[in-house]
Amino acid sequence: MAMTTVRKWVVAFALSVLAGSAHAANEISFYYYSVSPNNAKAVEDLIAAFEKENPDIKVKGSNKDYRTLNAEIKTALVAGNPPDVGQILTQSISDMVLNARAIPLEKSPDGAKWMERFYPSFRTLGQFKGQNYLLPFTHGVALMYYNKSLMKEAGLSPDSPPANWDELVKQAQQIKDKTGKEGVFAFGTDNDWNTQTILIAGGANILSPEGDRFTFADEKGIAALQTWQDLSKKYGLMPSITTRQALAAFNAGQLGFYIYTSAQLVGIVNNAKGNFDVGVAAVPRFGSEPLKLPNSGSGLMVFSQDPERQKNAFKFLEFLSRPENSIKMSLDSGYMPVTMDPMSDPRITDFVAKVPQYSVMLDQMKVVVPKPQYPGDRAVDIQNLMVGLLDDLLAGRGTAAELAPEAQRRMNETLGQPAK
Amino acid sequence: MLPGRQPSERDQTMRLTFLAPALLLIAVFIYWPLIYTFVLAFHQWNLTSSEMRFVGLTNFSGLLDSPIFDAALKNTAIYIVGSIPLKVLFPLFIAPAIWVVSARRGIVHKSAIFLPTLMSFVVVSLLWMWLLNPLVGIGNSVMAMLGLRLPPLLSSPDTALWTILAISAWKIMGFNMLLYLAGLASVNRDQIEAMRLDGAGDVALFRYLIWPTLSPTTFFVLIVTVIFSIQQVFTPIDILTHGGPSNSTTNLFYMVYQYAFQSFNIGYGAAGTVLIFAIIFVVTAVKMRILESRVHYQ
Repeated sequence: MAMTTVRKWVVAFALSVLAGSAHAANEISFYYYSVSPNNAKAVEDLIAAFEKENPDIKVKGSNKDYRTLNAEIKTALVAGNPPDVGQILTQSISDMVLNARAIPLEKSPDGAKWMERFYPSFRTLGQFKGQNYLLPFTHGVALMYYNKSLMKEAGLSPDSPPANWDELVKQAQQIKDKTGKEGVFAFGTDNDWNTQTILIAGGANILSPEGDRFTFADEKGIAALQTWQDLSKKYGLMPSITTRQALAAFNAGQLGFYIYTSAQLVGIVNNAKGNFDVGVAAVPRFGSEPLKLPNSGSGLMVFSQDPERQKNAFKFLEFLSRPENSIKMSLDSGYMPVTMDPMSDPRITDFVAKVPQYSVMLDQMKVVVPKPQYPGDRAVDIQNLMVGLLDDLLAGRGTAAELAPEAQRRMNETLGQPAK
Repeated sequence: MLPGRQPSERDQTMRLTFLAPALLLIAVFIYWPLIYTFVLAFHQWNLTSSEMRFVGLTNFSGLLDSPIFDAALKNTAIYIVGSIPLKVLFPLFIAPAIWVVSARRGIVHKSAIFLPTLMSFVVVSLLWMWLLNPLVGIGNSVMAMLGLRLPPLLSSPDTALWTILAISAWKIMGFNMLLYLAGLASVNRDQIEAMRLDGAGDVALFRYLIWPTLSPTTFFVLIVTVIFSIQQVFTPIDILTHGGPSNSTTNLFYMVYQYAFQSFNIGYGAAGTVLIFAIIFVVTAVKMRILESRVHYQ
């Protein structure tokens, strides 16, 4: 009798452990990230709307740090419990396909016809070996935010923000001299997207046409990096602070110009309400170089290995691909609208009427080029050298002409080292 | 079992039965990962692939040539050595100072110094990020009142490491102070009276009574601080600087994390872990050889 009771307890315990460790069948586990509270709220709203439409399916959303999200997906996969859907940065597509068993969207029972709802260039960003793996979700582009109130106070016209870096230096200097506030923060050293953006905007080619060597340390690349370094070292206009500190400073009205991703657009505009007038403009051009900017951001991938769970995951993706939901994500955050012909949607035109700054971001979509993907398997070292190049320029350890060729040499040397 | 009696077979079985759960947990969660890390250090693997290739010492040579390693090794040494005055010696003087004040006042000071220990390292890091913002932080406001400007402590390669070290010391100091106070509980206050009657001043009291009494605690605090100091700075590094600027704040732990869990180069991560193990092993062995003979156990 006693033994039977013990056995019952053991079985009950084992079952409860199993139930706790595995996902429920009618549940979608979703790992995502957000770079501002607005983004997180938009995702939560979309999840709630999906659950309302599909009351038998529960979406378990987990808001993660974008830098550790891939790691969490892979470790969950090794433990036999991958999330069904994950938000993946575009530069990680090949890695997640090859090493995290991502499922091509064509495997959807309906053949993923809903991918045609997206603008073709955003679809291309998510392809690997001819198949679609990434549902376009949050793609950003660099923008220049500026404090119109400070510009007025400094005697500048708030309707004529700087169009090139010479004008940026002049206007930032005037703000600093007349108001005592800081001039500009342009591209921090928090990740390699900043280095890529400076180089691409300056007209340099980061990689060779074959994509196997770094080639950015040419005349244009060095000139762009030097222009960036001059902001702090030559003119003393860019304070030496972290990107998070710069955002806080801009939001507090202590900074004239702040150049970073459009993902912060709606957050910045909302924050400025009642405090100061915020303007948004294109990233200033390097000389006469036509402006090109790499995308930032990510899309959604399916990782469920179980066909039943995949079905629910694809259902969720189909829901998010609908223009009304895709546009909501864009309007609530500042990411680019990724659907076909967004300007024909009255929600976009209404929003632009309410938040005119958003139209600048729409204009910038025309100059977006795909973010380069590094060859080989030494991404950490390459990213480290890319960020280190900006760090060293900011610390005044040399000029761009001295530091960029050396960084490029080390990157190529790293690629040439035996794999792992 | 009575003393002197030979254990019966049944006793042996019972002992093993009771020890089994603990042995199993230790084997699975301590010894197996330790052994497996050594195995992984000689293999190329990306965590998810079923294929794992033996590569000999390639991971170690690649790691030593990597652009991060030199900075990580040098910074690890600075984090360890810099932790000693801040986390070991400073609380050693704070603890007796609090111990001699009245119990009521002592508890206020103890609570104030111990409070940061209770906060999570993430909260502590974010708090200091705001405090040290050179444009809008409280630190800047205070400096402005004095007519000064707060330097960019976290974004300058010359100051970022020391700032992170100071933040981790601020958090850990209270815990070490508590350990010293526990050690001081064994001091006989009559002895102090007697020394005072013989004309001993504060310095003599510390030199001849407090210091010898606290030497086992100091030895313990020193070993624990050295072992954990490189782990304790992981969270502030990740939140405040990501190892930058110019790799000036990274350390071996953070480098291992980047290789293993950002690029999934598990071989490099394991090779780095083996190096950390070797460094901590050697440093601890040297400390024990040099210092243990000088520790005064009652």
